Amino acid sequence: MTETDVTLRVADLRVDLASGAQPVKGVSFDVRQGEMLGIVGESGSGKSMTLRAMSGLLPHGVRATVTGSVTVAGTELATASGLPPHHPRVGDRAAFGYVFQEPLAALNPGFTIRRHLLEALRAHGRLGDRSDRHDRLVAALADVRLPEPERVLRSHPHELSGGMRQRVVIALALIGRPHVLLADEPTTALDVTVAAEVLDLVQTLQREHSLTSVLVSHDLSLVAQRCDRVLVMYGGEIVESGAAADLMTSPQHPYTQRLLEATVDPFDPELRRTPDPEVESRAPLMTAGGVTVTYPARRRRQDPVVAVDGVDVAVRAGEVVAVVGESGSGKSSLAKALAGMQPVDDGDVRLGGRTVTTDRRDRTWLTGEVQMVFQDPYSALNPRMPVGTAIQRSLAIHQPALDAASRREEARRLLDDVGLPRSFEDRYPVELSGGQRQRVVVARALAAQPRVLLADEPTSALDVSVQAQLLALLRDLVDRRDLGMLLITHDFAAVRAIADRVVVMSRGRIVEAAPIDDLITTPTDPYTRRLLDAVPSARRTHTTQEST
Amino acid sequence: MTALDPTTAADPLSPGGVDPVLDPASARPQRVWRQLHRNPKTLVGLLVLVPTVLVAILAPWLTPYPYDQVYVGEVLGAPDADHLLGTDLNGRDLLSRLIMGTRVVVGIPLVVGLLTLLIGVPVGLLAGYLRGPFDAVAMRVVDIFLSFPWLLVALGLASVLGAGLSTVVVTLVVVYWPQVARVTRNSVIAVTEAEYVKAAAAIGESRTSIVLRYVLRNAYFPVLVLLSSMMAFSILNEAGISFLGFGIQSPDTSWGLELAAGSTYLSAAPHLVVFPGIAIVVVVLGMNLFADGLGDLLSRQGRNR
Repeated sequence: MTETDVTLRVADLRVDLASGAQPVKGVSFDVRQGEMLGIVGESGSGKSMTLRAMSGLLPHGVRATVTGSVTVAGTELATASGLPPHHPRVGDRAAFGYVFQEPLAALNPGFTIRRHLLEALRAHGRLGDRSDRHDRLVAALADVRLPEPERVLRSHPHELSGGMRQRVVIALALIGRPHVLLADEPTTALDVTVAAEVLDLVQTLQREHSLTSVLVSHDLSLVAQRCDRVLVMYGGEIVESGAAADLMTSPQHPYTQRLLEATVDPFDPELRRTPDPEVESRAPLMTAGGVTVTYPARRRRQDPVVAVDGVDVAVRAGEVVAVVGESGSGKSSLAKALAGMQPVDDGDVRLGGRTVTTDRRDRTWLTGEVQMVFQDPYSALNPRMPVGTAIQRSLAIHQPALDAASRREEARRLLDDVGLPRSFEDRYPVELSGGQRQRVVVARALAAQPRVLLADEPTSALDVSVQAQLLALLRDLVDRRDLGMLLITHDFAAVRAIADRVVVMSRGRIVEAAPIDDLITTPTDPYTRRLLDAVPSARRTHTTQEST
Repeated sequence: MTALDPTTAADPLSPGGVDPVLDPASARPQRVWRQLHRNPKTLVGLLVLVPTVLVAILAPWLTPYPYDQVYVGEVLGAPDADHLLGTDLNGRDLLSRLIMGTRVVVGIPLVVGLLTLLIGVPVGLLAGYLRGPFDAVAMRVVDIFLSFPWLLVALGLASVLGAGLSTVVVTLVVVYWPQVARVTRNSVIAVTEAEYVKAAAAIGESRTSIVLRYVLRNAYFPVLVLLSSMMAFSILNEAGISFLGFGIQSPDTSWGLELAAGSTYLSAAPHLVVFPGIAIVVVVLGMNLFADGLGDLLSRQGRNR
């Protein structure tokens, strides 16, 4: 490539924190004009730190020394003294535009969208003439394909959906006419179908504005699908870089290979699961029949919200049933109803000949039968309780015959079962990584000797390689202990990895229920197809483009 | 997919090693010292508070003269070699009286703090955890109590109980407990929303167990910080109440009482005001620094959670 082609050049970028840690250890890369570069890595790999350090956006209060050089469109931003300035400019354009993970956090809840845009215009010295200002604001929103821009201008952030908010954030980023658009996990907080739309938009804008962009993500298949070139970061260094296609087919570095192995492609035909006829012949352990959950209306004269609308689900011992849906589909309300934490308005949940209720007197029985694995392992454990004690509490409730010594021994055995060293029993949750904490949550659940495990998005807070391990652990436990498991998730990769049957929910109803292989290869419901189409994959076997 | 060892697998955030500050296994005294070193406010606070407590305990042996011994002919004497801080209106040695007064300065915050906790924490805990009608009633009672000015409470109680130590203690408890109840309630509400409290219910913990093992253990920091600054204020308030004549009565002594007695003779014997004043300022400042530093320490721990 010629020098004039390079829009962004980062050379030997280093970040030294005051604490002595070095999250970025000499990172160099070029991005050509109009290119989309992907940076992939797990938490702690330094990918976000790289993005922030080179753009002068290190988190407030972080004491760090940044060295190296950053050149945008031929102008060097970083000086020998370290940090690039806040909001650097090159010529009359901003050097960078930013899109962050959580659009709600990027917007001020007290400001209308109009005010956000005006602030951005002012910051970039582009307020201009009052007469056509309104038209320019409308045009900025129309540019990011927001419907009804006039209405959006008058709205506050909370009145918009997640996807619309992220479009607003992109519009704000584009106001400074940036040379480079930096996007840090821009779709992680969004539903899959919405995420796909937002990324489509970024690519369209990229073509229209001949924009250069850097996309940072933990999701290898997403980056590979969207970007021209990919950098893989690990431990603050770039361990591999190359064209996206090459990286997916022939990864060179062991870390990339491991990452790729851990990344489940739902459309990989090798993942076919052979059903066990013995398991399939079993009678269901837990049956939900016509379950309906409604929440009272928020305001008077509004109808109550029907979160779950006549849902039938059954799970047998030794099988994993996945309930898939986007946010608002009612899958979490269904999970709460199954766990007896949410009253059922119609229908019933039957378990071992009894009906599940929210009655406090049934709690000990119910929690001995149904245990939960929570979404966020960082908040599911009491920070003031060593993990061994956390497991022993569950034992004390559900196996009261055990004395203190045998409780302790049993808790250690459970740590073995979930693949943690026994020495962890004295540790506090803060000393454990996310994956380790989630294993403790699983061990605590097993301590109750349940027959059914309810896992609500058990992997969404974890890194990709850790996700794969945890899913393998859950499947293994289901097989070894003949548990019935309900996996509540939006993630088809997780479903593909361990589920036997899938139930797809939309707006409180089941739209499709099928064995996993059938669902992946021949989805019948249009909504299921849309969900599957939004999954980033290299081996997709069908697309809506073909079918519609 | 390969089964990786979960304890060593790619998780660069926790590469086997453990932050020594957070590791409960590392030696406690060193850890405490390191925390204090990083936090000079707490250190300075302790440098004031520890000697004060020692003086209070050893008071009868430290006083150069009996605190209530009258030396006729030495009324309002200026500081000299015999009476280092001078003598008061009745010819009593001021240094000895201030040393004895330390017992009030140490005792009042301890007693008031303890009683306040015993009333405020259970009320706040129940209100915050149960919510509903109990919460509504308890918080209205708290509102009513919060609207009492301490001066009025002291005046009312003095007319019932008579002036004295018990009036001081009861006044301060009446004024402080609603603050503790309110802060406890709010903290409990915040903690009750946490996922681990719901998780505790999901493993089958009883309500009592949830409250004691999960909620209270995580909700007490703000209460502790409030309490330590309230203890500092209780010294000032005791001085105020005694100054007005509703508190400790001569021949007993407290710093506030000495200040009050001396104020009449400000021009003739300024030492009667200056020394008790300095003593009050130094100790209250020390307590406030300690409380402030404690708050910093705990909030840092809170972030680490």
